[in-house]
Amino acid sequence: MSETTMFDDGWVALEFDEELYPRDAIHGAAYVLIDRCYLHLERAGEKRIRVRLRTKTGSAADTRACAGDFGNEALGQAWRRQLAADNRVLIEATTARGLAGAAGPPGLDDLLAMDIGDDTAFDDPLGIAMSWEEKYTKKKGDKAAREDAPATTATEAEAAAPPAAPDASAPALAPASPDSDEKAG
Amino acid sequence: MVPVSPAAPAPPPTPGESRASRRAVTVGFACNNACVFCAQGERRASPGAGAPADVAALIAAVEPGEVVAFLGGEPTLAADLPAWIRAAAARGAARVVVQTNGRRLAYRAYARALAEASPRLALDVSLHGATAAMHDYHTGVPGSFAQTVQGLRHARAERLPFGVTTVVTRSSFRHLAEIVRVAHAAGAAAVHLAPVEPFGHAARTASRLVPAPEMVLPHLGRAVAEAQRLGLAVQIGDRVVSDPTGAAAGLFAGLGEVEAPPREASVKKKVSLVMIADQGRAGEHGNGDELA
Repeated sequence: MSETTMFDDGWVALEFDEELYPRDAIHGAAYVLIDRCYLHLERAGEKRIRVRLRTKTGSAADTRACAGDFGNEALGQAWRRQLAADNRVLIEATTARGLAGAAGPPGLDDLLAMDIGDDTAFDDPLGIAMSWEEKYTKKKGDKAAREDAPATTATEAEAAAPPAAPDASAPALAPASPDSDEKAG
Repeated sequence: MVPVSPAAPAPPPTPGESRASRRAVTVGFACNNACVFCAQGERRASPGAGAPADVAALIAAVEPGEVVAFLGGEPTLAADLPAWIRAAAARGAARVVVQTNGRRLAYRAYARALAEASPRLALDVSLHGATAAMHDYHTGVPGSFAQTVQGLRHARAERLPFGVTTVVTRSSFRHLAEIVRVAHAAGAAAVHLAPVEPFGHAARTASRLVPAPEMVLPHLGRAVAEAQRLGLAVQIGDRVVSDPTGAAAGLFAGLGEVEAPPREASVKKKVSLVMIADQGRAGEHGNGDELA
């Protein structure tokens, strides 16, 4: 920002150098102040942007304060934009992993669609190659943690429950039987 | 050992293998299923259940011409299984059998890795229902039927000979003929209809698991007839009922280590199912109604 001009009609003009303040940062700063000020952006020259603003109250003091806030906000926006660019790969990887986890493991059709090479023989995206206890005991712990949380509903807790352990509870397995064979033998 | 390509068909079991002595190699008790009739019971939850036994020493004792059966737990959970198969074959084993639920073979590359380990490898795959609901109920793992069936497809594609073992329970005995048809469609060479072994969890829940022999008999007869019609070898319990090609002899691994010695009452139940096998054998040319 190189200069600030106060006009008699209550408007203030600020000029920004796009080498220092990317256009996205100026748009972001304008958006933050849009509830307090009337704003207008225009081209002021090669790689220069002029921002004109006036508070909705019409107070000259408030307008000067908003001009200062705009400069600070533009600086913050530029810095956040730089951080996002620096961490783009990490952000995308974390987001992709989160979405993939929410979608659950791949199905068999997905597996068939995968490129199968000798080097993938011991990959286990479905979690098949782990013991029943290893796979489902962990989920039991998760369930207990969820039950401690007041927002958890009974339906969610039931949906997350693993199958019963072989020796855990005989009656728990009985309702899942595909046949009602209790009268058979 | 001469490596073979995945496309090369493994030699089928020969009738002579029925005379070969069998050496069981238990590789640990960790399993990715939780079957309602699990004979290993508490052993699978014991400390070290997932740790392989001294498999190398057991393999070193293999004599040429023996049938080596890898048992679990679930042997495919062991990362060294392909290496153990290679080692057993290198010791001169006539055949190497892996008793498995077949789920890990849902990964085609894993099935290929096993097939490449030895041309003498065969699989004894557990299939406990003709539908996903029936099978998954028995295994305690939702989705296990789909993975096992996919594993069978991949075994077939990799030219791995396999038989299917089904434990006959109160929730499956009415559907044995359907299970035989599924096994045939998947490419099995033989089916093994096994009684609930009275050990471990099965011993504690026998009243819910073991069907009345007189009710099983007609369904067993129909299953045997269906298998014969489809050209499958059939083994019931320890008895080979029908084996036109000699396939059954080299495909089934038998019972592995169990939780505890049988209790007298449970032994009676087992004996009663063996009697069914005898009756089924006597009527192997009839349909189920004749046996009933």
